[in-house]
Amino acid sequence: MGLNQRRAAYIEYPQAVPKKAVIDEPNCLYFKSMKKTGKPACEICKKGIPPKGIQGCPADAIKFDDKDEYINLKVGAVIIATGFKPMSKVHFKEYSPHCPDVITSMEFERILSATGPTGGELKRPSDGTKPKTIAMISCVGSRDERYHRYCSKVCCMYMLKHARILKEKYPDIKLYLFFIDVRTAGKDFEEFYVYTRELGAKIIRGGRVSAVDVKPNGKLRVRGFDVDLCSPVEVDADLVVLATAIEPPDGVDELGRMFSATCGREGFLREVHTKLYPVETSARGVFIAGCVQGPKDIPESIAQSRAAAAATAALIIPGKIKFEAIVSEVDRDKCSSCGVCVPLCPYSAIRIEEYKGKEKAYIEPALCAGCGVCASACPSRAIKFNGFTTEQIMAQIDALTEA
Amino acid sequence: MEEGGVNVIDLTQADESFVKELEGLGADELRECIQCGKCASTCPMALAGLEFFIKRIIHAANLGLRDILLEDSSVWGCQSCNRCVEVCPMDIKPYEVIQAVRRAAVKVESCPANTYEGLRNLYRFGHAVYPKGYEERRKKAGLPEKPPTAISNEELRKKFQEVLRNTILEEIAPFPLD
Repeated sequence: MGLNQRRAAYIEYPQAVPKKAVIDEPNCLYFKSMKKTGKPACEICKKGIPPKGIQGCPADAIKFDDKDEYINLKVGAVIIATGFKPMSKVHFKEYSPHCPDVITSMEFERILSATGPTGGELKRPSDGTKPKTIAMISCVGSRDERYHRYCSKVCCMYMLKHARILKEKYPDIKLYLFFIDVRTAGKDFEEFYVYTRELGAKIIRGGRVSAVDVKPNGKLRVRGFDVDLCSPVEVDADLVVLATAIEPPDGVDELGRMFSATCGREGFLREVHTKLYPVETSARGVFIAGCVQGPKDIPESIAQSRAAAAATAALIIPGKIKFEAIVSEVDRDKCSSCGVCVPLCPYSAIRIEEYKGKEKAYIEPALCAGCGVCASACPSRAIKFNGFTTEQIMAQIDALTEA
Repeated sequence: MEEGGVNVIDLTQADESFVKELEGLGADELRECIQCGKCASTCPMALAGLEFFIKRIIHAANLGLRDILLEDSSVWGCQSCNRCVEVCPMDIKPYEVIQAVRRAAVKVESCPANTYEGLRNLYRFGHAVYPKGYEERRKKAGLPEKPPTAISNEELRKKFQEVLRNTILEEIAPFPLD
């Protein structure tokens, strides 16, 4: 996150899965020198420093010649769970993002963490002093037509969590939490909120902060509105924490296209039905779980991932797939092999394959969702949309117009 | 509240020790207030249009805005109807918050002049509001000149004064306790 430096051989973070060390190739002395001179300048991780009695890797696990590789797997179903990306602070010019003491909640989480860059010690990034007054600002980039219209859902609660950690550890810290309103829907969440208030965290509602300005003495002046006081308010803070929005991860639209799963207007992968098919996508056999579907907290992500796992198991364990009756079918003797249908299919269910020595369209019934696009587009009328054939539709019209 | 013509409340002046003081003066559930506004929708102060009505007082108290609260006379407008206490879903006892602010104000002699008059009346006659000028009308109606309360009971009043002299009034009363 740029808060401190790491070595060229590192474990990404203590809870990483798998918890394995990797080498940062562009910064590793071995690779740098091998590229320049062809001779290794450092192999301490592998061999150690024998004269000083420092051992190299006892498991002999260092492989300098290891390469990234693609592994092809043939699978029956896929669960997409790429997670989210926290929004950057740079967009918010009104909050002085250039100032090192204006940080995002994710950075603050690292600063509070015992395994973080400060070893869990509360320090201002600018001068390393302990902040006496901290302001936290919610809805930064969320509920905002210019960035994201949606509510990021988890910010209210993690702001309260941060407040609670701070107040329990440092009761003398002055803490101002600026909310538009406090959203604590969820089991035990409201109780958590009231407890945080009891600890002395100050809640300012209706108070979307309009400006954070750096004063000449290094303090940050935070200006907001307090709807409960019916007055504009301001406070000089030493540290400002921005609860920036949850964003879809980079490249999720491309990933979605790869799997024929559609993205919603906000860029998250879309479920087939909010209530009835919450983990299914428009592509059969492709499931979603976690923040790739939309902002959500850990319990919800786990519940959704378990639901996706169950839906996947139900699909693949029987070893057979039931087709829907309402699918399209190609009459290959009529097909002119024009190929119009292939790119039109939203589910990538149509391919051209050889039939009686000629290239003909073929619709994979396991993939076809029965939308009928191909049938209406086929210039040769070679595609039959089962359940909605011309004869059937005409018969329906006749029946309706008879009366 | 107003400084240089700009109507902004500077939270930097907020004082946590004031919150603790109020908690010690009876507003012990103060911090749990979630500012739902139920008290304000029933409070006669709010309905009468007082600027610092109950919900706002509690929030200012929670933030530790000592000067704002003590400079404003709104807390003295409370009619002690206790409707807020009856309706409060968080059991804050908003009336107790008002009382706590009043107690804090009395300690630093930051109350409106008429509160001292009321206090003096309470000490001298046993009533904060002393009914004066009704003697003739009472007589006409065949009633005794003074109502049968502390006013007309010299002995009880003396005992009451003795009790009051044993309170903090001894230290803070801006009039002689004779």
